[in-house]
Amino acid sequence: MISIDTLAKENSKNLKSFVITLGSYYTVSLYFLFSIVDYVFYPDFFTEFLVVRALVVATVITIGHLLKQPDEKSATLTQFICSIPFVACAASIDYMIFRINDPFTSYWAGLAIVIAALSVGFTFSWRFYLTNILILVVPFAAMSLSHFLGNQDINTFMNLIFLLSITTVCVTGRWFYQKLSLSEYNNRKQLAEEVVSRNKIIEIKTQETVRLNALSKQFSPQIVQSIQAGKISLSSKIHKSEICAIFVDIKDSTIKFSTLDRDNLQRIIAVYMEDVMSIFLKYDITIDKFLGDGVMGFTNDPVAQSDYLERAILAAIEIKSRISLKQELYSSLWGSPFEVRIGLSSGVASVGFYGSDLHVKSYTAIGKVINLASRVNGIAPPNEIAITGDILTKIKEKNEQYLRDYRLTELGHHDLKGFEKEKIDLFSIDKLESPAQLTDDENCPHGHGPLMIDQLNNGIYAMKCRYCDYVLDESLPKLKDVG
Amino acid sequence: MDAKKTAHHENLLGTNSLIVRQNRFDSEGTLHAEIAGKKYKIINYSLFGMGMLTEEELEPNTFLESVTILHGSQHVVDLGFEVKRVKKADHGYEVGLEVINNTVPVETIMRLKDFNSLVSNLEEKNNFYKNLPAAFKIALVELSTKLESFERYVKSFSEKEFSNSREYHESRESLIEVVSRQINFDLLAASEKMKQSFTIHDPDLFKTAFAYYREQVGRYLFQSPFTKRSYEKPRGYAGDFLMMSQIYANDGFAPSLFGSCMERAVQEFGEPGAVRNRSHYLSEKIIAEVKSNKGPLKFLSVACGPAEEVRIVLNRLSQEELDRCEFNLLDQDEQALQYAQKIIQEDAFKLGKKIKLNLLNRGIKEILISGLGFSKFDVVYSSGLFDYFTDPVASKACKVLHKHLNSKGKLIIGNFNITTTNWFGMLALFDWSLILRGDADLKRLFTVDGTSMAIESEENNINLFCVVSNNA
Repeated sequence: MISIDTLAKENSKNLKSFVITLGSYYTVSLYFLFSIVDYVFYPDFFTEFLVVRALVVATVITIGHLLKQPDEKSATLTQFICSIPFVACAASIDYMIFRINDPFTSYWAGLAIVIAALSVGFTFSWRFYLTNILILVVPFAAMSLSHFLGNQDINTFMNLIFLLSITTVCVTGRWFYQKLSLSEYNNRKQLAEEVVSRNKIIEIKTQETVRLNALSKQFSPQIVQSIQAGKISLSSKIHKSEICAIFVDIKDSTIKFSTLDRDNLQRIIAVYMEDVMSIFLKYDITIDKFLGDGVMGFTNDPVAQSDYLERAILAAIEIKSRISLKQELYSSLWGSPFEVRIGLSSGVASVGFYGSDLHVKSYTAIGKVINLASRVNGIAPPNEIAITGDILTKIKEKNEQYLRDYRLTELGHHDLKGFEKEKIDLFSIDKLESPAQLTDDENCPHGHGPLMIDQLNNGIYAMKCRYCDYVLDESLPKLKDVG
Repeated sequence: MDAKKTAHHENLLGTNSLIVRQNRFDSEGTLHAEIAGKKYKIINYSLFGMGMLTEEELEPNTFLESVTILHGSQHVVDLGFEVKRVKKADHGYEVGLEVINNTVPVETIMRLKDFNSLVSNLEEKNNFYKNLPAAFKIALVELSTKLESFERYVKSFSEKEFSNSREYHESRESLIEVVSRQINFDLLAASEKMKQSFTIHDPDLFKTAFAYYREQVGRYLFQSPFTKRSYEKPRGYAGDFLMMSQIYANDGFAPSLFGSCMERAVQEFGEPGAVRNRSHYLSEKIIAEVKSNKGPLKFLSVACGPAEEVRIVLNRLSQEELDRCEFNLLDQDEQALQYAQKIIQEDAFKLGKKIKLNLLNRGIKEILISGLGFSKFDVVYSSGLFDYFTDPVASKACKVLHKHLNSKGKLIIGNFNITTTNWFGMLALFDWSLILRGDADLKRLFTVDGTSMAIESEENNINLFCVVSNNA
C-alpha cells in the first residue's frame, strides 16, 4: 500500500537524509582534500585552515548524528538544524577569504558551490532557503564591497556580480525544480489516494459478494437482486413479522438412514434437497434452517407478500407433486416408497440475522409459529400436507372462492407438544388439478356443487364430490358368480 | 432397544474417575418386581441393578433377599438386592437397587421382550386374517406349497452340470416351458378356488384377502419382473408404458431362473395375451382405413403408451401410404411419449421410412372436461383407458372424443370383457383394478346419435372393441 506523508513531513525527511549524507565519511574525506589546495597555494595558512575545515566537518557530523535521533522534530526545527552545515561551510569560506585578503582568490567559488548545493535537492521551504542564501551571500558581499570601495578593484566587484548571478540562476533553477517536485508529489499523492480508495471499494464489494453469496443460499435470485439494488433492506435489527412457516421432512428417515447404502443415501438426499429448495426459491420462500432431513422455510419476510399464505400452500403442493413424479427414482434409491410430510402454520415470529459477527450469521425466524409448523408436520399423514385452520380462515377472509380449487380434509384434534392448551384445528390440503376437472352436468346430491373427475385410490376414474365422500356409480369388478 | 448410556449406576470403584458403565435399559412397563407377594413396577434395569417404583418408602442399605423379576406374567429370575438409594417421586418413591452376588439377566429379558412382541404381532395378524374364508386360506396354502416345490426344483436344475452350452440352453428352455405352464395352471386354478370361497361381495374383505395372498406367495410371484412392476406401480399408476412394453416384448427375462418361469407363466395369462393381440387388432384397423381411403388421414391414439400398433403399421405400410398418414399420440405421461417416439423413430430409421408423429402431453382429466380444441380426426382409438373409467366417466369420454371425429370418422374404444375369468387373479397378483364390460354395457354406454356401432374383439375374446362410426 502506498502511503503518502504531508508535504512538510516528506520534505523534512528528504532534508534530513540529504544532510545526513553530507556528514558521511566519503563526503567528509572529499572536503579534507581541499587542504591540499590550501597547502599548495597558501602554505602559511595551512594549519589554520585545517582547523577551520575540521571545525566545519565536526559541525556537519554532529548535525548528522543529531538528525539521526528518532525523536520527532518539527519541520521548522529540522530546517533550522539542516541550515547549520551550509552556514558553517559558507562561514568557513568567508573566513578563509577574509584571512587571505586576495581579491583574485577563487575561494569565493566555494560559496557558489555551497549556494548551488543548497538550491538542488535540498527541500528547504522558500523562507528558509532565501534566508540561507542571504546568510551565505551577505558576508561575502560585505567583504567584496569594502574591498572594492577600499581598492577600487573592479575584479572584486566582478566576483560579487558573478556570485549574485550564480545565486540568481540557482534560485530560478530551484523555483522550476520546486514546481516539478510539487507536481510529482501531487501525482504520487493522487495515486496513493486512488489506491486506498480502490482497496476500500474492493473490500466493500468483496464483503458484499460474500454476503450476497450467503444470502443466495437462503433467498431466491429475485430477492437477492432486490437486496443488492437496495430495494429491500436486511436491517441488522430483529423485527416481528407475520409469516407462514412450512416444514418438509422425510417419513421414516431415522430408520432408513441407518440401514441405507451410503451412496444411495447421499444421492437421495441431494435429489430431495434440490427439489425442495428449488421449489422454495421459486415461490420466494426464505429458507430458514435444516433440521436433519427437515427443511424449514417461511414466507412474507424479508419481502412482504400479499399472497404469502397461498405461496406456502402452492409450494407444498408442488413439492408433493414433484416427489410423486420422480417416485421411480426416489424409490429405487430409497428401497421402498419415498414419502414426505409437510406441515404449514402461520403467526408472528422474530425475524432477522441471528448469529455472531465473527462466525456465522443467517437470516432466520424464531417463534411459536416455527415450532408449530414442526408439530403439524409430525401429524401430517405420509405424502400429505397438514395445515392449521387459521391459515384457511385468513385465506377465506381475503378471497372466499380461493379454496374451492382445493380438497380439504379434517384431521381431527391432535395433542401437539407445546400447544396442549391451544385448540388448533388441523386439515390436510391438496389442490384439484384445475377447475376444468369439474363436470358441468353432474352435481353432488348433498348440495356441494358440480362433481369432479378424479382418480380413486384403486386408479379408477370416477365422478366424485370435492367436499364429501360421494362417488357417482363407483364400479368395481363384479363378482358374477357370487351372492 | 436403545440403551441409556448416561447411567446413574453406583460408581463401583468408589471414586469419581470415569469408568465404563453398563448400559441401562427402559423396562417400558413390561417388567415388575414381586416382593413378599406385592408387585412393583420396574422403571429400568442394567446388569448390576434396577430402578423400581414403590408406594412406601424403603430404608437405604436394606436387603431384599428374594425379589422375583416378572416379564408380564412370565417368571424371569429370583434375585437378592440391596436398597442403595430412595428418592421421592410424583406417585411414590424411586428406589435404586443393586443386585447381590449375581447379575441381572439383561439378555434374557431383552429376548423375552422381542419374542413377546413377535407373538403379539402374529396374534394381531391372525385376528386380522381370521375373517377370511377357510377355503381361501387352504387354496393359498396349496398354492404356496406348490410354488415352493417348483422353486426348489428349478434351483436343483441350476446346480446341475451340462456338457455344453447348447444342451444347457435347450434344457433350460424346456424347463421354463414346463414349469411356467404348470405355474400358470396352478395360479389360475387357485384364483378360481379363492374367488369361489367368497360368498359376499365385501371390498374390505377382498383387500384383506389380497394382502394375505401377497404376504404368503409374494416372494415367489415378485420374482417375475412384470408382476413386481404391476404391483409396485413405480410410475404411480397401473399399466404404465414400460409395463406394456414388457407385455409386448414377452421375452421372459428375469434375474433368476425361477423368476423366468414365473414371468412366462404370468405373461401366458389371457390378459397380457389380449394386450398383445389388441395392438394387432388396432393395426389391422388402421391399415384397413389407409387401404380404403386414398386421401390424407389423421389418427389419434388416446393414452397411447408405447404405441405398439403404430410400430406394426410402420412395418406394414409403404412409404407412399405412410406419407398420407398423421399419427397423433396422446398420453399424460411425458416419458411414455418420449419412449414411443424413440422406438418408432428407431424403427423408421432402420426401415428407411419416414413417419409423421405428433405428440400430445395432456392430462386425461383435462381432456375429458375440455376436449381437444378444434382438432378433427379420421380415427380415434383407445385400447387401455376405458377400463379405468366408471360408467358415467366412460360415457362422457365417448361423447368428448366423438366430437373430434370427421364426418366419416371412427371411434374405437377398447375394454376388457366381463367374461374375463381371471379378474380375481389380476387383483390378487397385480393389485390391478379394471372395470369389465360386456357387449350390452358397451352398447348402453357408447351409443351416440347419428352413428352406427359394431362390437368386435381380438382373437381371445378377452378384449372387446366398440367401433362407433359416423354415418356420413
